[in-house]
Amino acid sequence: MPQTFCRLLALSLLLLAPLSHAAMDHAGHGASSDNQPSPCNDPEAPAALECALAPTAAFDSNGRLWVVWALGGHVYLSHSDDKGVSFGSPLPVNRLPERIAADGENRPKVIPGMDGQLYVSWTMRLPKPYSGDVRFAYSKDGGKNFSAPVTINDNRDITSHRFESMGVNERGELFLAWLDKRDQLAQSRSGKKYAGAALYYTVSTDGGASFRANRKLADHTCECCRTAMAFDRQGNPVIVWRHVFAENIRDHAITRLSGQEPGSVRRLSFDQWKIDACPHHGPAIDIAGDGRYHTVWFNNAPERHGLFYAFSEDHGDTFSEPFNFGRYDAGAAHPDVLALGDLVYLTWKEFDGKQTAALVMRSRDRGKSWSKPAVAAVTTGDSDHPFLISDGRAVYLSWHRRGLPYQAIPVSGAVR
Amino acid sequence: MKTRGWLPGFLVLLLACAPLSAQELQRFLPGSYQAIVDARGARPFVLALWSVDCPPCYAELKMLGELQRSQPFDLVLVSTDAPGTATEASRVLGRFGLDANEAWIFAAPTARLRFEIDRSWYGELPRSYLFMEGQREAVTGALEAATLRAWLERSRR
Repeated sequence: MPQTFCRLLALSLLLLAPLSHAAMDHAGHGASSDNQPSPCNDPEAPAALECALAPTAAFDSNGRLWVVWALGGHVYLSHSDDKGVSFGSPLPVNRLPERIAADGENRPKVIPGMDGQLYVSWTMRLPKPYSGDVRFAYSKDGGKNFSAPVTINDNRDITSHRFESMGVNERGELFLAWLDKRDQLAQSRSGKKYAGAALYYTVSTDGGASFRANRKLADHTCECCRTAMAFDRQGNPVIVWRHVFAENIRDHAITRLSGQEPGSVRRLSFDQWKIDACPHHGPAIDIAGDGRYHTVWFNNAPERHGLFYAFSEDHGDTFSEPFNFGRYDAGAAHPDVLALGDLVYLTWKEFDGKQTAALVMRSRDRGKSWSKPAVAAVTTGDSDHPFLISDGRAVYLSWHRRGLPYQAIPVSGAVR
Repeated sequence: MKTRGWLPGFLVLLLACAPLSAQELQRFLPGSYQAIVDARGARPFVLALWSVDCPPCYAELKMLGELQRSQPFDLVLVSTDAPGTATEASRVLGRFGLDANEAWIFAAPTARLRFEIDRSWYGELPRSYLFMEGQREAVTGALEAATLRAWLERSRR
């Protein structure tokens, strides 16, 4: 009986925890901010963007920058009309609080549609370790009103449905793809082994009001690295992820959907990283207007390690010889890639023992040759993964440094 | 910070439940790694890095708990989760019977902590270090019982 009571007490504390944990999480993370007053410790201002753990941003077709982040059980949305220097008041996306994953690899996302829609996705954490559901809501009025959030995975086991990526093409077809452990769970229930997770997807053709039944794209993905999605010139989604190949080799794979139908899976990287572990370090992809795929990833195999870039001219069937970039002994990590015309930009971060820098490199010839790495921003504190975003004219670094105001940082000045 | 009326009452009740509450994790800060190593000198020990969000870590924790019950060894557990996860991390350690070990949780920028521990470690988990006579051997991925038993055997020679 006392046990039951204590469990109930512990449970009630857990339920109350979200009220104060967002602020505590932040305070605990700051390098030297432990005893300093911070707006992030103010329970009256829980939505502050600068307190966010993993804000994610995207420009809409009018050049307005949208950003989403999670705090205290809510996803918040805000926008900037001055290219990410200042932001408007936060608007909540989900009315009822839920446990939301907000870290480098798994974070709320916003994708603006062609006609003013806003699509927001995130992972709701479930009451078991590394379990979650993919959640989604949309707005047709610039974020003033959001649809009630829905769960995208149609399997409701308490297991992992996480690390979603999302995109919308010019036809307005909205795709979500994510890592899903329903098959692993089913196999383990019958005493069988299943390596890793699976990649599932769904599509909506009515602006997010309804979704098709979930379908599988691949078995045996790595369990805890982000997925990434881009669209080719025909509007087919192309997805990259870390895969579990034979003998636990965790290299990368790529697939291109054919319209709304699954396509074949191809291997993207051949670094032979044999590891029974979670790298927490996923790839990225962008597809240029000329149809060339640009991809980046990280591996830590004894022979081939560090950050790699490769391009493909044949829809991902074959890739260029991977180009190794970043300083391995400075922890070069979490690469992103963005193509704009013939220009291709890379970003990643490094730590030199004193500070973390987001570096940027640019190619003027579609990924053949590269500028020297240039520092776009630095911090001595904790920092999020760096991302590249563009309004179609300029390229910006979206990189949240804990304790500093979130801003989009133009990278054109950094690379010459 | 506003005073929350329910908080003192809860704390009293929590005290009554003390035997059920798990151990408190120490804050792993810059310098903590060296302090852990220095405190042990040449003595053998295992430093295991793990996270609540890492499936293979659970397999490793289970193995560590079981092995420790059959042959005790010095084990230092370091969670790379944020301090806000301390309660959950501590509960996980309790579940695998690992409460009695020295346990820490990352409480400073992870880039800095990783840099101090090992510059070729990129955060992949689980990651372990087997220390013997001041030398360390790094293991990525879930430690296997056989590996650890062989190491224990050598360390006792």
